[in-house]
Amino acid sequence: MTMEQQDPPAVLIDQVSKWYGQVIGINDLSLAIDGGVTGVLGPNGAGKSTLFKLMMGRIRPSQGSVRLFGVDPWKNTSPYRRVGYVSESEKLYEWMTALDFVTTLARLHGMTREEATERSAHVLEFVGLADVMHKELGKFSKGMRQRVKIAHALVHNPDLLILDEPLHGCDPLARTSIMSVIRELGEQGKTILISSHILEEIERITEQIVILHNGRLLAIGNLHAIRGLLDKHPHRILINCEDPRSLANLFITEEPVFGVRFPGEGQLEIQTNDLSAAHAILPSIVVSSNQKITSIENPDDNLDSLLGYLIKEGS
Amino acid sequence: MDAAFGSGDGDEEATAVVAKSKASLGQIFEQTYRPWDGELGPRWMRNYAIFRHHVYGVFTSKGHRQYHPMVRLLILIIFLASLTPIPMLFLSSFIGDEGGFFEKMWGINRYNLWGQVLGYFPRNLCMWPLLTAVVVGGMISDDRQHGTSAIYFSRPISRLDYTFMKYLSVAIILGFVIIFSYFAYYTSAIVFKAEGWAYLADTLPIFLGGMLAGSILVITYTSIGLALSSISQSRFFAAIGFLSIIYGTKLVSLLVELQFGTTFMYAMSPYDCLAHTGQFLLGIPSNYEHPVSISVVSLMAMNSVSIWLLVSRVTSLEVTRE
Amino acid sequence: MDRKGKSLFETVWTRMDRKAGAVIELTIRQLMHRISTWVVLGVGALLMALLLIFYIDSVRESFEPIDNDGDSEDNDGDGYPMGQERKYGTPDWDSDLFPGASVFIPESDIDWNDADRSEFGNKSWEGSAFFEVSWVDDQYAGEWWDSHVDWKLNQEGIPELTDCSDWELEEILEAIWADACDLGDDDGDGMTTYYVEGKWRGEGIATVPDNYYLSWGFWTEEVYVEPEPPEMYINEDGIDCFDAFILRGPGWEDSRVGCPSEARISGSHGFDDDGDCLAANEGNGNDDNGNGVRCDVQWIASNGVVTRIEADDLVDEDPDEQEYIGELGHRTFVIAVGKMAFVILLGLFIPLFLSLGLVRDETENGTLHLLLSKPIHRAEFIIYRLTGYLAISGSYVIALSLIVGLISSILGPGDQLIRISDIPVWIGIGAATTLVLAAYGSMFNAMGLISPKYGVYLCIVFGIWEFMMGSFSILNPNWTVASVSISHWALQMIDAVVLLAWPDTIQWAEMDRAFEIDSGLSVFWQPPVHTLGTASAGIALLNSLVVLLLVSVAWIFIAKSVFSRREIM
Repeated sequence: MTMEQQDPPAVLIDQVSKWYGQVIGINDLSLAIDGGVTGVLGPNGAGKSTLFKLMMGRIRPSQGSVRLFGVDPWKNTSPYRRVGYVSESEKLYEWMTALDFVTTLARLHGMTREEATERSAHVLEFVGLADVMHKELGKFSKGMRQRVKIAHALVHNPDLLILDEPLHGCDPLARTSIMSVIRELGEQGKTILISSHILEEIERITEQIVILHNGRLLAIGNLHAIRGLLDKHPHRILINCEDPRSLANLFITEEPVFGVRFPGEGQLEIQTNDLSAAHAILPSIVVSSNQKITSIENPDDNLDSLLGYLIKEGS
Repeated sequence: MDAAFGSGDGDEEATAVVAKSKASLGQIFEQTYRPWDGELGPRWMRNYAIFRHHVYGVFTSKGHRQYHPMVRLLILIIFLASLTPIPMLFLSSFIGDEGGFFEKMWGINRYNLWGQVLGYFPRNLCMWPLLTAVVVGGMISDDRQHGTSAIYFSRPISRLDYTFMKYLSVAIILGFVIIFSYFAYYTSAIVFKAEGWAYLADTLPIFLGGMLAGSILVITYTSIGLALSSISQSRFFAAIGFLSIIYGTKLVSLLVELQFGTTFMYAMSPYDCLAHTGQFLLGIPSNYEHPVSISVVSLMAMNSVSIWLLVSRVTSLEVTRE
Repeated sequence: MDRKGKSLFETVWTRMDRKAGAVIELTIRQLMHRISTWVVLGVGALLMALLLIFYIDSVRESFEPIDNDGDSEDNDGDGYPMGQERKYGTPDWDSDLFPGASVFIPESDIDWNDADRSEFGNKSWEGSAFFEVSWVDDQYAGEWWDSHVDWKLNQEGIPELTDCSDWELEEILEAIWADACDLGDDDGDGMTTYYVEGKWRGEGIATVPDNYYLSWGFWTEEVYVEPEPPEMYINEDGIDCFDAFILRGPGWEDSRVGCPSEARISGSHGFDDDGDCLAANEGNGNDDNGNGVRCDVQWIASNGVVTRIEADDLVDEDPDEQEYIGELGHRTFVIAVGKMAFVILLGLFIPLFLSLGLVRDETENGTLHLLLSKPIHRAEFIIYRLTGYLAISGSYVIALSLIVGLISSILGPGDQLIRISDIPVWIGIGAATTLVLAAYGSMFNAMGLISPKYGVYLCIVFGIWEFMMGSFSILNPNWTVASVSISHWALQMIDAVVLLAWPDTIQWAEMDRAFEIDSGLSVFWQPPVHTLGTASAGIALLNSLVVLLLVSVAWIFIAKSVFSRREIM
C-alpha cells in the first residue's frame, strides 16, 4: 500500500467537524501530518481526544473526512496495521501479566503466539519494563501502566503512533522515562502524535506543535516560531525582590521595557514588547542593582497565556 | 470528623495556588481548616434523609436517587397490573352478579386474598420478582461501582444505619406496590359491595393473615435482593441473580416433585416457602406435603443468611471506587 | 506489519484464525477470572448432582405395585373389593349388594290396563292390591324409603291395622301409601282382605284395582362367597399382545407375546384378564375404541412404529409397574432433566450471567480502545467474543450432560452395562442447550449493545417471556404463540432427538397414556410438532436447528449493525 506512486500522508484531516448534540468537539479542522513527532496542545476540553478518536475511527466525523494513510478509519480497519494508539483510558486487564497483555494484543495483528511473545518481550524491554513483565497489571503504578500501553501500541512496529496524554498522572521519574522512549521513537523516524495540556512537557520532546482550543486549530508549526510570533505582543516579567521601586528605576530606562507595575509587596512587574531582548538585558541589571532577587517568573510563558494571546489574535 | 467536614475549601485553595505559582525557592502554604460548627441533626433525621432520597426517586428524580424512566414505568405497570381485580370488582357490583363468575374470580375469599399476593401466575412469575430485581438491582452495587458509598461513609452515618435505610427504602417501595394493592383490593371490595361490620368481622382475620404473608414476602424478597446487591459490583448481577434464585429453585423443586414425587425440595424455593406459609396463615389447604414448619424455618434461614451477608458486606465495604 | 516474513501460509485466513484465537482466548480467560462465572457454573453442577442423587435414590427402591384402576378398594365396606363386586355384577356403592347376596328375581306383573287383575301365590309383591291373606312375612323389611309395609302383627299373629271397611274406594286409594288397611272378611271365606300399597311378602290372592299396578317375584337364597384379597386386584390386568387375531378364540394363550408384538404390531390386541370389561355394560362389554371388537386394545402403527394405542375401558388397565415404569420413568427423567434443567434453567441463566457484558463491559471499561486499535473489524470482534463465551458455556453444558448421561445410563433399567441408546439423547440435549446458549448469548449481547445501561432489564423481560413460553411448550407444544420463543425450538429439538434415538418413545408415551401408568412421559414428551407435515423426527430436528441458528445469526447481525455504528467514547 505504501509502495504506490504517491504516498498519502499518515494523517489527513480535511475540514472535519464533530459535534455532540449542541456541543462542538471539533470545529472545521484541517490538518496533514507526516513524519516526526508532533505535539497536540490544548487545555482540557480543547478536542484533543476527540481528534484522536476521529483518527482511530472510534467516532465518525459530522462533517469532512479523516484519512489514515489514505483510508477512512471509520469504515476500514486496514490502516490499524500501521498505527499504534494509546488511549486516555486507564483501565487494563488487571489480572493479566504485562507480557500476557501485550502478547494478546499483538496476536490481534495476526502474529503467531511465538512471534507475538517475542515481539512483546522486546517492546516491554524497550519501554523499560523488562524486569516486571511477568507481574500482574493490577500491581502496576500509573507510570508503568502508561508504558505498558505504549508497549502494546509499539508491538507491531507501527509507522504512526498516536499517544493520548501518555504523561497524564505520572510522577516526574516516569515522565522522564516515557519522554525518552518517545524521543527515541521519534529518532527512529516514526510519525508520532502526542497530546498534552502542558506545554513544558511537549517542549522537552518536540518542537513541532499543533495548538487546539475549543475544537479549533489555533496554531501549527515550530514551537519557537510560534512563540516568536507572540513576541510582538506585550509580555510580562515578574520579579520578587527586596526593593522593587529601586529596581524599577533601573529597568524603566531600558529600551524594550515600556512599563512597570507593583502588583504586590516586594514584587515588580516589567512590561515589554520584546521578550528575548528583555531577557537579554535582565541579568546585567539584576547584577548592577545589588539586590537579592528571590525569583524571576515569566507568567506569560505558559500555555494559558499563549492561548490567551492566540485567541485574542484569532477573534 | 471535623477534618472531614471542614477541610474541603482550604484544601482546594491550596492546590490551586500550587498549580499557578512556580515557587523556585519553595513555599509552605498555611493550611487553614475551617471547622464546621453547625448543629448536627439527630440521628434519625439524617437516616430519614437517606430513606427519602431513595423513595422519592421513584416519583421524581430531581435531587433524588435516579431511577431510569423505564424502571419507573415498569414499576407503574406492575402496580397497575396488581390493581386489576379492583375494576373487576367494580364491574361485578355494577352488573350485580351476586355469586357469579366475577364474584368467584375476583371477590374476597381466602383463595383470592392469597392469590393477590402469593399467586404464582402472574404475580410471582411476572410481577413481584421483576419488580424486586429492578428496584434492588443497583441499590448497593451502584454505590459500590460509582464509589458513592464514600459520600455516605464520610458523613456522620453509621454503616448499619445506611444499610437499614436502604433496606427500608426497598421494602417500602415493594410494600407500596404489593401490600398497598392488596389493601386497596380488600377495601374496594367492601366499598363496592357496601358490606357491613359483620362481613368485616368475618373477613378481617383472613385479610390480616394475608397482609402478614405479604409483609413476609416483601421482607424476604428485599433481604435476598439486597444481599445480592451488596455482594456484586453491577446491578446486572444482582437483578439476574435474584431472578435466578427465585425461578431456579422453583423450577428445580417442581422438577423434583414431578419426577420423584416429593415436595420436600420446595423448602429451598423462597417463593414456595412463602406460598406455603401464606396458605397456613390464610387457612387454605396446603399444596405441599411437608409440614409448614419446614417452610417457616427455611424462610427464617433465608432471611437471616441474607441479612447477615448484607450487613457483613456493608460493614466491610472499602470506601473506594472499586 | 513488515512484509518480509510473509510465507505461503500467511494468508488472510491464517491471520483471521490467529486473531480469532487471541480474542477467544482473551474472552475465556476474562470469564474465568470472574467469580460470578464460577458461581453460576458451580450452581449448575450442584443442581445436576442434586437431581442425580434423587435419581439414584429412586432407582434403588423398587417400584411399589400401583393399583392403576383402583379396583382393589372396597368402597361400600361390604368386605369385597371392587374388582370382585364387578365380576359378580354387584355395585360397589351398596353394602347390601355383594357377591352371594340374595337377589330379587322378578316374575311377572299386572299392568294398569291388563284384563286379568288377580294373582295367587306366595310371592314378594310390590304395588297396589286388595290382598286376601293366608300368610304374611312380618320380617320382610328394608330401609324406610323402600316403602315396605309394616303389618303390625299382634301376639296371635293377626295384623292390627286401620279399619277401612266402610271407607269409599277413592278414599282408601288416596290415603294408603306404604301401608295396609283392614277391609275385613268381605267375602266371608275366613280370610281377611287388606288393601296394601308398597312392598310385602306373603301368600294370598292379590286383586289389583283398575289403573293400578302390581309386580311380583322372589328372592334368591343368600350364599356365602369368599371375599378375595385386595392384592388380587392390583396389577391384575397386564398389557397383552397376540401374534394372531384369535382373540378369545380357542388357543389364544399360545399366541400371547411380549408387547409390542413384532409380527403384528397394529391391530386388535389386549385381553381383559380380570374380566371387568366383559362384565361391564350388563355383560355386553365395552367397545370404546369402536373397532367392533369388545374389550380389546387397538394398536395403530405406521412404518413399524406404534403411533397410537386405543384401549377399551377396563382392558389391560392395571399392568405390572415393575415391567413398564422402570423404562418409562428413566425416559421421563432424561427428558424432564434435559428440558427443564438443561434447556430452561442452564440455557437461560448462563447467558444472562455470561453473555450480557461480552462487548458492553469492554465499552464501559474503556478496554475496548485497546482491542479496537488493532486491525480487527467490529463484527469480527462480536463473533469471536461470542465464540469464546460459547467455548466455555457450551463445553461446560456438553460435559455436564455427558456426565449426567453416563451416570444415569449406567444406573438405568435394562440388562446391558450402559444404555447405549441414551448417549445420543444426552448429546442431543447438550447440543440443544448449546444452541440455546448461542441464541440467547447473541440476543443478550445485542441487548447489552442496544442499551448499554438498561439492556439488562430488556433481557430480564425477554428472559421471563422465554421462561413462560418454555414451560408452556413442554405442556403443549402445539400452542402457536409459544413458538415465538427460543426455548420452544430447543425443546422441540430435544423431542426430535428423543424420537430419533428411541424410536419407540411414541409407543411408550401412548402406553403411558392408554394404560394409565402415570409415569409423566406423556406430559413431558410429545412427538415433535414442526415436521412440515412429514411426521419425521429428522425434519423436525433440522427445522429446530435451522431456526435456532437463524435466530443466533440474526441477533449477531443486529448487534453488529448497532455496534459498527456506535461511537466509542
